[in-house]
Amino acid sequence: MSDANLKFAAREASAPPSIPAVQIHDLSRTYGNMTALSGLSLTVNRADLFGFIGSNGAGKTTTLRILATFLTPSSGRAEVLGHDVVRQADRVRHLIGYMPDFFGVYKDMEVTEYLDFFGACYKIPAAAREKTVSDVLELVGLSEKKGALIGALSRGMQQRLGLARVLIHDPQLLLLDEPASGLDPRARIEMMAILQELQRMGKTIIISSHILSELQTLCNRCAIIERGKLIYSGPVQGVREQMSETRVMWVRATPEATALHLLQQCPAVHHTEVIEGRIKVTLVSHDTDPAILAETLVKGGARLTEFRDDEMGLEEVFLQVTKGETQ
Amino acid sequence: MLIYAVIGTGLQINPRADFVFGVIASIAFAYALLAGPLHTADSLTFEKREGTLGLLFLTDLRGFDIILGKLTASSLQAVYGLIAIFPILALPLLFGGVTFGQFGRVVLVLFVTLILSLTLGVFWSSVTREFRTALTATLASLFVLTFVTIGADWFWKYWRPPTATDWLAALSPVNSLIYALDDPRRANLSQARRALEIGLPVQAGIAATALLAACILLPRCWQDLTTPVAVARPEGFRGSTHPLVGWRHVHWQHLMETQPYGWLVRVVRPLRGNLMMLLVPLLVVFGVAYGFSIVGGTNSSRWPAFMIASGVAYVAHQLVKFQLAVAATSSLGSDRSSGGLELLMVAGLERKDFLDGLRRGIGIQFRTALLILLALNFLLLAAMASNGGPLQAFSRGSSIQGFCVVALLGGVVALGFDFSMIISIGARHALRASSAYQALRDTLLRSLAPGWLLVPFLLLTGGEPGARGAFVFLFVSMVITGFFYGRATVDLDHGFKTLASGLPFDTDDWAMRRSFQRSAMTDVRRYERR
Repeated sequence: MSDANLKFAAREASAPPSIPAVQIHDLSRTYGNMTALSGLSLTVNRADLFGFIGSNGAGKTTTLRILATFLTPSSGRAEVLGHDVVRQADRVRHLIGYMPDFFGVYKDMEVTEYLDFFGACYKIPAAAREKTVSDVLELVGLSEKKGALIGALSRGMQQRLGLARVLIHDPQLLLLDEPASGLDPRARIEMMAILQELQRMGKTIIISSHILSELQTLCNRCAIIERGKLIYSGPVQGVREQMSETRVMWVRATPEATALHLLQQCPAVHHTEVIEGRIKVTLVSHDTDPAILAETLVKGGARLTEFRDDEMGLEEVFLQVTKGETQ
Repeated sequence: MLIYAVIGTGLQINPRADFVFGVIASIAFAYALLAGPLHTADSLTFEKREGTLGLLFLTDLRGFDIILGKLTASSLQAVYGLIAIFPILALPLLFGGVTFGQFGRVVLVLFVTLILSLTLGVFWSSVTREFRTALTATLASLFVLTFVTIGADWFWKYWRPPTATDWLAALSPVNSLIYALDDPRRANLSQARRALEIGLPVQAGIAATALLAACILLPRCWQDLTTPVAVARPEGFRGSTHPLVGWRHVHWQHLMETQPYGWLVRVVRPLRGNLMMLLVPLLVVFGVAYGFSIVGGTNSSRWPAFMIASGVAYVAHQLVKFQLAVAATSSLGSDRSSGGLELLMVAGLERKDFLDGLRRGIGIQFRTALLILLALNFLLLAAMASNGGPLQAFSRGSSIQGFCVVALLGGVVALGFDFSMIISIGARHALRASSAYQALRDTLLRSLAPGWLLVPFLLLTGGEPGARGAFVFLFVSMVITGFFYGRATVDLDHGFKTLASGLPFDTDDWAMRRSFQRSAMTDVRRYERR
């Protein structure tokens, strides 16, 4: 690692924002006969908080490890801030912070010592390291644990320390593999708050997680992969529209029998079902205007008391579009 | 070796068979002595470090079940290895000159020695947490039992007239081996029988006691250490308010700035006195023998003392190199298994940073030991050169003198080569092996074992190999180790990243692909687990 690389890394921080944070083209990776990734193409924009969703063995970790320069793709290309992860691996390493799904900590070290050590590995000058370590500890809420041995920290604190390590060299892109796994609810909420703060600071974050409800509120964009293939990539809010074949509305109206009859006669309705006093109405397509239903019911003499869209969550979409198959 | 014994020496048939039998028995004895620590020292420490021992205690298993289970599981390979030697050991029976009684006694001694070393390994593994500590403690215990007891017995008899009480020597397996090897036609049978009748039960008793102690102690010391370990601040230190960070930073700041991995090896994984624990008793024995070789009364007493001092120096060299192999394999191995190596790689450290750091960190830790070894060799050379020294009885330019000079000077040169070679070979196997034991075993087989296996050839030359023999010995062992060093260097140069991340086929180099072929599925499974 040379000084030139460091200068280069510093220059990258002010690289044109037109260059996406991550660009993946037709990426494949095989292990012997096993295909972990197959033709994955993906773009992550700057300052995105990008959720990476998939079953166990879907290829999430492989993708993150390729971006972290540990793995060479079998075919295809991946670029981080315009740099090829294979040919320009050294440069890429200065631009990313990688937090794997295991701790990788040295239990005999102290918190500050651990961060100081990684700071030295990144060739951060000794004079600057002290403040950097103090800043990142404050950011992740570990300032009071400066002198503690890592082995004596709780799991949640060790995860936070891992995040502090990732931030020590002020990377532009964070690759976080299951950062909230094994954390208690409070620690998870705190971790998510830290990630949102980092996004506000302009960091691009790719986060792989199984806790989809949290990703739904946290991320602005996401990708779903299964068996190494991309199923969806785009805004989290748009995932339902794009991935669900039909649209569902919930209706409560009186008299119920009249309302049900009217809905069944409506050409925009594909299917109806009464569940606990409410009518679940499946429309023929996503493009169908739900106002037609309201109009039909009111004109037919039914009194409308509830009329709302089905708020299908990321979890339901995920279950709907994936088959749970692994490699 | 047998072929060499048959065609390469001028010995008569019966003495030759006797001699070959003794050499094979000695090799088997060394195996029995070392197999225990290597197979069992990490059996329980590994479970403690991984936190899986607690899970076993949550079931109905007791300390007794776990200890016996672990002993059985880790000992099978060692026992099979010993049994495999027996047909070779029996070959000299065909030459004549070796009796079935001798053979049976030696087999018995070998089994008892193996059981003793295995149980001591399990005992130290049950009361310690680190492989290196358990290994060192087991080796130290065996050294005390095997050699210190013999030395103490010799001194006891030197100061007091020989009595019937050989109880101190009876503790030593090597004493039992010597009596077991005795030719019944020449030996004092009653003395030999008594030595074995006392010695073997005593050693078996020690093994049983170690096993019992392990069963009792394990349930009391398996818990995780969650209390921070207090580290003493050096006297008069006024740096940081925190003792640990302050001390480490002030003393090793330069190392952290220049070679962070060297800092990690030196500061976070210190030897903690393991090396000196083994070296100090040897130095004491060396000092006494060396003193005798200089100021002993007669030539006949100075020469054996010089031989003992030389033998102790050789053992010291081997022990330091052994510890070097342990240090070389343990650091990268533990980083790889914990995933720390990947974090360091993504932090920008490259192959060169790791290997140079490893050499630097280990070099600092072993600096004193290496200087001591050099001093031993030069002291022995000085003793040879001195007027009235131990070799005065031999004429100038004799084969013994030539052998000693070449061996001692060659030992100095070999020390530098071995340091570099052991670290590279150790690094390669630390990255490839699936356990600390496997990494250490593979490193020892490629770095130290060639030299050990050549020792019997030197003995077969009738004890007078001369300067040429010493040169050939050093040259051949260095060539063999050099071959493995070259291979390790190529592997590390071309596939460090692949080896470090434990993934197969991450290279276009065909030789590396072939080399990784065998471990590919293991690596894939490991990867999937992660």
